[in-house]
Amino acid sequence: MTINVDHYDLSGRNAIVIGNLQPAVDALADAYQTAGAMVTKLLCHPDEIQKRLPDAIGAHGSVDVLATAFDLFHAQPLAAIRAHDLADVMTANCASQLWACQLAVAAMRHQHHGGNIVLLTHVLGERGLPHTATYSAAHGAVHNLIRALAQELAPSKITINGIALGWMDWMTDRIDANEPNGARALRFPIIKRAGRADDIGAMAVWLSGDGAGYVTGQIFPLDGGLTQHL
Amino acid sequence: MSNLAKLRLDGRTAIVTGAGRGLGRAMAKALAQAGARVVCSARTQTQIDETAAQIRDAGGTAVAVRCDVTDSVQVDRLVERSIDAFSRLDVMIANAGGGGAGRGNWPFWEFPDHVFDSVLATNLKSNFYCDRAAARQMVKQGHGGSIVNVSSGTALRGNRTFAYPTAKGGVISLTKSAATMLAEHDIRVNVIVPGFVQQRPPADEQEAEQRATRGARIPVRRLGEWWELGPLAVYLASDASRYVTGHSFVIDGGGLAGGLAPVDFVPSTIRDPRL
Repeated sequence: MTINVDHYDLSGRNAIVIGNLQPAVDALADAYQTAGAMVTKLLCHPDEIQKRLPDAIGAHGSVDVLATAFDLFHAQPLAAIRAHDLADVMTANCASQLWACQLAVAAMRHQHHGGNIVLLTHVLGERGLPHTATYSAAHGAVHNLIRALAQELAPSKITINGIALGWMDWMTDRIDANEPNGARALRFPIIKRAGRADDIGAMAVWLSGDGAGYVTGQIFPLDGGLTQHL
Repeated sequence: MSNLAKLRLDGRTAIVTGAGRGLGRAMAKALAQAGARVVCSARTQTQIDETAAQIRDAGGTAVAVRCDVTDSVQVDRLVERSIDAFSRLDVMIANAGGGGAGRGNWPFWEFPDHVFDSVLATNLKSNFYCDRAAARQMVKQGHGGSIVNVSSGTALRGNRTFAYPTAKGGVISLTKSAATMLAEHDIRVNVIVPGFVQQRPPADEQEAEQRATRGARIPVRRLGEWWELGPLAVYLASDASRYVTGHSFVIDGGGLAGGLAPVDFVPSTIRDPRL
């Protein structure tokens, strides 16, 4: 089979993009739309998944592609972490994505032709930084959630993969570019810049199309090479 | 048998390549302290003589056998001479290597063949020759053994020294495949992956300061020290690690677990998104 643009063609697919991470949600929705999908964009808080996702699936009658982009960064030294901080970070970054998968997979299985799931995560899921114990743990959990669900969902022709972001230009919640170490952190990627929303879409489209049918259970860093140099 | 007793290497014979100085010498001495008879090998006779003498002075058993590990004939001879000396081989520490020749200033597209070939010969083919020669002898003996390769943290990340991390990445792959192929013979193969580890104490105050500056970029805020590979080498060589094979043991002060930002960078919650 020759490789052609059809492998990136999502015409006729119902794609749902759900999350609280607005730059990523917008970028994913734009990319899917450009690839021809019918896109439902749900910018919502993790608490709203159980209500809004079934409504969206019901409105279209099916879901072929699910992309999630939930993120809540909260830096704290170990001694300061309280139970509700941990719960909030785990819920927003990890449990949210699990519940979204649960709802979408029920619909995908019902359709019998499978589907494609893309979860946005962060490279802090495989690396550490001071004061990121909860956030890094939550994204580490997302990484293994992807690997476990890939095994579970493969017989149903559902693929699930992750896109692990590095330092993105909207991450002013964690890096102050005006502070010297913050500015240096933003130059740590091999490509000497922070990522942008428009860097995300193409990978998500690839992972959601027929060209990636044999790709599942993987986490792809989209980080400008941040995690691959000394 | 107690757990500490499992770390003993009494009656075992270990070859350590690159034992003339630095990490190799430190590992040779550690294995000798654990009771092994050690064959100290390197290209420079005076240096391995010194390592062997230090081991004997401390009450251990050691011989020095000169070998250029880029030459498979010499590596095979090294194993033969070890058998001549101690009648058996139980442990191969394939440590010899070096990055010097790879530290050229060439742009990637001008990197010369002969440098690439030379760095791979020193840092990858050498490990294959040592592992192969040791495995051949261990299979013949029929009571298993432990092979320990030495790679580098650069193998797990890109680095401008280029050929060296390329070769060292190959050592990690070699380890996994060799472990797979040799497990049925009860031969284990693992790899030590050192980060920035000093080969010897600093020569003077200036060098000590330079090292302190480099060490400040590592999470534990210091470079590793030569002797710190010894306890790991003993563990991997001994029965304490009987169920461990095919794996990489990073010893790097936490560097590879981080690396997303300067070591002093501590993210703060600039604004709490929950509010």
